[in-house]
Amino acid sequence: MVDDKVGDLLIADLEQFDVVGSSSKLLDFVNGVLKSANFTQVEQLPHENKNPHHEEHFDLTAIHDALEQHHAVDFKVYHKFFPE
Amino acid sequence: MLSNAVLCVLALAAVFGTVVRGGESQGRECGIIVFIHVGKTGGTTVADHLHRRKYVREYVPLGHCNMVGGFGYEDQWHHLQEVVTDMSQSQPFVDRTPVKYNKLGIHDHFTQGLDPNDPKSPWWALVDSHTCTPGLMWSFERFLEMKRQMEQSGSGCRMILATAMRNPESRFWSNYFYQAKNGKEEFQIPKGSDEKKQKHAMKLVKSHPNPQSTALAYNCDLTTVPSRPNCSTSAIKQSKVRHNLAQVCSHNFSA
Repeated sequence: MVDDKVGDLLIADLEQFDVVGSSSKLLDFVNGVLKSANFTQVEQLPHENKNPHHEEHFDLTAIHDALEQHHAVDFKVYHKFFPE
Repeated sequence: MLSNAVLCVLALAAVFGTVVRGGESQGRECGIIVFIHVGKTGGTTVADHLHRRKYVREYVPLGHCNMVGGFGYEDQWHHLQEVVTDMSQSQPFVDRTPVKYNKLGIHDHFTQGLDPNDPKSPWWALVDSHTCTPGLMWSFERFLEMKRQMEQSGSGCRMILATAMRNPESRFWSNYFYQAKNGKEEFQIPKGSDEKKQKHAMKLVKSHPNPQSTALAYNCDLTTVPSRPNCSTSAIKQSKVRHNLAQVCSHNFSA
């Protein structure tokens, strides 16, 4: 199980990475990798969700609250690198 | 008017022919991009773009369930170690044979560039660590050791460690609908009332805690036995290359 301790170990590993990117800024991530490798910048990075999302059938607030509780380590690791 | 110092540098550069930048060996720029690919983070798009760069000469998959059958996990590491060894020489390698060329397509704006067999040609390898591979709790120290080997060799070649994460809420919904579309039984969204759908989604939230961290830390080892990366057990059995599992498993659990 990934608990808080493993989350801390994970953060320590990721802090030694050259590039940690966010899906919300994929172009920045790819450019960061390419810059590290002395490649030229990419111009565009087309990406779309491949699957239809029908979130209107769900109580998003309740799901959000449950995610914060049961995916707490995921939020901790993600926000360590991408504080919002 | 150029200063004497600038003129001196230009003259020296002309005499020696080249100025060696970071990441360049004498005559061949080279390196390895290690992409830790977590599902539902846009990783396929990223990997495809990295795969199409001009001087990505080699593709080294780590894991990938559909390849494990004939190409054991430790065999994949062994191949990566060969690349690392070649890139850790004081002189640039000249006789590597690409395992798989990059995916340059007709829509790419650039040409292939120098022939890969030209000893002056840049040479990058792309490692895509995805499904059916143990996570960073087992692999990180091995990557770091390879990175040290390359970067302390004086070859000028570098290893770049990279990964992308996704906001956990966004990733949950992406995975939820993806798995449902792809027929994973547990993820089949019930027909009928919104109440039923809500109950189903809530059950999945609770039954798969911290999925992104799990993928990064353990990946396919979802049963989380710290002494053994279950996901690679069958692959190791099939490998031509034997590896001391204790070494593989030592990271973070030895303290």
